[in-house]
Amino acid sequence: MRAAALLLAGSLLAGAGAARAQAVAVPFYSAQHWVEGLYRHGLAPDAAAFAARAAALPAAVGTRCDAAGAAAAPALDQARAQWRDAMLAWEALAALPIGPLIERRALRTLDFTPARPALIARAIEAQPADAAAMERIGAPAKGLPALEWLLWTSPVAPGAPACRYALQVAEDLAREARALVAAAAAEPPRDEAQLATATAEAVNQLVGAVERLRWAQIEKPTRGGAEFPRTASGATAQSWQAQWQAIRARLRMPASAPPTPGTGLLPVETWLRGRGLLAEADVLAAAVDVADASLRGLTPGAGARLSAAAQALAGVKQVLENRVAPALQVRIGFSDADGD
Amino acid sequence: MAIDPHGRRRLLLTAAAALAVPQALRAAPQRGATLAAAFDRDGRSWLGLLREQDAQLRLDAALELPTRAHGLLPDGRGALLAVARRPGDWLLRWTPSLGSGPDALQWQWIEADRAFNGHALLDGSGDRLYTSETDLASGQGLVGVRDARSLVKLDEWPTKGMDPHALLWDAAGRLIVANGGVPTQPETGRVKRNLDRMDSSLVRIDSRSGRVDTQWRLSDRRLSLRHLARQDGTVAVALQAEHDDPAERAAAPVLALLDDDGLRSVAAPVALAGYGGDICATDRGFAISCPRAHGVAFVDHGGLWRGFLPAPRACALARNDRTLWAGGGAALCVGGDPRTLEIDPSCALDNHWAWWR
Repeated sequence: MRAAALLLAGSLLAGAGAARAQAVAVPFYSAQHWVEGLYRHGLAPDAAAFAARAAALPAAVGTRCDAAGAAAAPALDQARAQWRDAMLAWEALAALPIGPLIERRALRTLDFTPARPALIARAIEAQPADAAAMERIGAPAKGLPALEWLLWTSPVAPGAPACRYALQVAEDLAREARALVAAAAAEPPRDEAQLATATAEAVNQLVGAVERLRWAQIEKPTRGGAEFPRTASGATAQSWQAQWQAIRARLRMPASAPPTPGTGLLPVETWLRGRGLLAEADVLAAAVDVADASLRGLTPGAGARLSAAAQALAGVKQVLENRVAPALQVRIGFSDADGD
Repeated sequence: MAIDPHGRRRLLLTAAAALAVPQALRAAPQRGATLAAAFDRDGRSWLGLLREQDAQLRLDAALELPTRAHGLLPDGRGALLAVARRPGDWLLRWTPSLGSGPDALQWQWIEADRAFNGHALLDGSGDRLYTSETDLASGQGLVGVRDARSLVKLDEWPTKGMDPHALLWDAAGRLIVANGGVPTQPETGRVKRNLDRMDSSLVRIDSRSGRVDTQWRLSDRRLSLRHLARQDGTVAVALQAEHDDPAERAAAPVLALLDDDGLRSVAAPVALAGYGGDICATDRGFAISCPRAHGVAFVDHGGLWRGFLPAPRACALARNDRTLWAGGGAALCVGGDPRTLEIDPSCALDNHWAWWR
């Protein structure tokens, strides 16, 4: 009955550009609709997209390893392009780590930063030749950052042991990507207790996703605490954009008609409007739009714009913590209320 | 926050009597006190000095932080050490007299596979600094042994537990570490996961070998041992209850004591919402802040109940000589010259503060 009810969420919505008044009919969505949307229409397709790009990595790296003479340079370019594609698909997938990404510790396995050259050198000497051997290699020597190091910082030479190791790293990435696809295909949490846990986890992870982009990826490097992400490949700006677009898609209601319950990815703003929480939805939309503007075209050399972008992201985090989570009755582990 | 000054003063005098503060100290009021505190202002995290002035604690110096701080430790040489809240990635030495520019700041970033857990402890000489940390690969707890001047890590000692939090020297110069025991994962930040696996303990580490020589656990595995204070041979521990059942959590004890008889939890005659946020030794025992019960509980050295001082949101505790400072919605000074001070209204105090001067 409630799910079928339509709520007329007439409010001022900030559109893609100028603000516009809109009367939007938004259905009532349950927590199950929101969680199912995240898993079926977010996690699953994003995992598939990453797996498709990761699957092409071994061939691209292998071509570089087998290349001779004049073919070597274009083969390296091709391997780098393939890495960039896989990395951007990964950023979209990993921007909101939920479910199997947490259970499989995929962020650590596939994206340990910074890569550790000494451990990569040791791994090259160990000459792992298959999946079992790669399991004995630690995360700091494999995954996307290690492959970035092998393709840019110390580019592997055709026929060299380092190239054979790079190929193993690429195959390892493709294997884990396939495992993630399989795990993401499982039924989303359904029973009441599982659903409550999954809802709380996803809200918390959204807060964490915004904070990770703000602090670990943008502000901390400006304070000298870390390198900007993907510096070696020069893909920092694209990496930020891929993450932010994935986060934004999970927060901000698009201009298109809201999905029928259970049929699509449900941004938090849409969920809030469907529940009649219009004030919270408006505040969230405004904060996301400020962050969106501040992140547009942002590069590591942007100077003061970096700090403005970090502040805008902090604003989104505050809205999620202080307005959205309480309205959805979700306890935030990133906030004050959890003790210490 | 509105406080009835007369009623509050009566309460403070009662608490001072309960603490049995010597008359000589009561006759020597300490005005112009300054405390170092972490706080939130306008949704941002700050570190600052709050100085007593006209019945207020006013902001005297401030530094914006990238993320929230937790434990604060004056180094005795004019600087304040602050550790990022868990899972944290920075350790900072701030010299307020030098302002807030680069000369005043010394940042130390933790390695990629480690996280700070919010507390630090100096040794008696001030040469070594010990930090509670987590190995993010295994989840195991560590004590980071650091050069106190450079803040660079020299060694790591396993704590034989997860989620190590506060550290303390025992009477014989051995290191006591509270393993909070709450399972978390780097991917999910502070979110508590699989509380059935919770395993809190207190460990004693030989500070020459770095080895755990004794480990104690409470029988209730859902009590997290977190903050520490010591008076002679008794170590007191503030507890954080993690029971699934809200009623069980609300009724849980907030104090444990370690003495010659071992480690035991201490029940209170009133429910304290299962959360001891900070703990401090007093002349006659211990004070435990209970921010969810809005007050400070007092016990003697043996854990005997001595009373409860209502104080909205009180969590941060600090001691100077025989005066106890409790900070939350306001600052309560208990002891020598009991009084309540308003805190700069722009500052929402964090869990801990430290006596500055």
